[in-house]
Amino acid sequence: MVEDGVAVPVSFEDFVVDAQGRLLRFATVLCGDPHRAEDLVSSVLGRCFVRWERIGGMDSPHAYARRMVVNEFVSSTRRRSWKDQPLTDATPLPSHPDHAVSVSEREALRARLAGLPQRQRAAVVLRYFEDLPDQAIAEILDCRTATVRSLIHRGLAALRVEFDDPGPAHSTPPAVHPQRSAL
Amino acid sequence: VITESDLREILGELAGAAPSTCSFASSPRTRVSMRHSLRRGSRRVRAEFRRRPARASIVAVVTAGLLGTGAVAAYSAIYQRPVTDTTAVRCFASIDIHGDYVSYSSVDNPGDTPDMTDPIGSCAHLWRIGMLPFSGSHPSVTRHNADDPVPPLTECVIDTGVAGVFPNLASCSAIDLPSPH
Repeated sequence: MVEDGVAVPVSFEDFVVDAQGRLLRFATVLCGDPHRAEDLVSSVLGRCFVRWERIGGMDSPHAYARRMVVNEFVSSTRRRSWKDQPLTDATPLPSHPDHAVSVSEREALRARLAGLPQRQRAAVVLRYFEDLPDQAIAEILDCRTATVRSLIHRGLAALRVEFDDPGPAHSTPPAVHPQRSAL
Repeated sequence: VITESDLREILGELAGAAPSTCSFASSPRTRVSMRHSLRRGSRRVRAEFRRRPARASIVAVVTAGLLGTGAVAAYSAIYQRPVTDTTAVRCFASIDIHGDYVSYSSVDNPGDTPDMTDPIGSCAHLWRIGMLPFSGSHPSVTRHNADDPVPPLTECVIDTGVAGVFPNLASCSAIDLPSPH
């Protein structure tokens, strides 16, 4: 927490109360499974607790914890191959019948999202869920902004192409996935 | 075609499935790390407690020193006074400031000059020659060679600033008199 330009240490309890919900929503979107998100966040909070003397004095403990969630997600995915577990097994989403995108399209998008490589998925979620700029995403993923743009571009391309590929009624947008368009 | 705004919306729907709270330390890994943290914390606390007695001892010693110095200064101010009248020594026959005494003075005894720098020695001389305990008469000249027993003597300062020497007195404060500086 920052007051008058000076970082004011917050208590771990206050931080958990304040940030837990946001971290859980972010983690759920990131890994696509509320139960795994819960494990992810509790693990991160546990590690935050261990290092709270340092984290509590930061300008934004939440941003640091979010970065830990991303790192935990990426490393856990590597260890446990989470992406092999389809998101459709997770808790069903509430239906939105009035929305322009059909339920089947949503399900398909969720499946494609689950199929994204973890860093692409993290970049897409950080951009389109957390609304972070390239620079912030680059810091979280520990890469260059050009890499972030590439990850997001390829992520979006994969999502859209996968969506449009199966059905003959859909046309593949050439601007989204030029490699496929070239084929 | 899925647009970016659709993607935002679908991600938002995904977030809607998030649990409201997570049971803290639910995963074995978290529990292990927290347990280690708590152990480290308890070790640190124990170490601090171990260090505290040392710090407390130093503080206690310094405080005691200051208090002791203050007490000595206060004691000196209250229970010690200089002997301001060095013309005589008052040698008491008992531990009673109102009791019998011999005023041993160079003025009164020109032939038997007391050592004013040593009131105890001077009074001991009177005890030795039999002038004390007080008998109401001056010792005869022949008694000057006597060697009567001398009790333990203590020098105090009486109100007039004269040294008063008492027999068998443990401390001047016992009879509310200051000791000489």
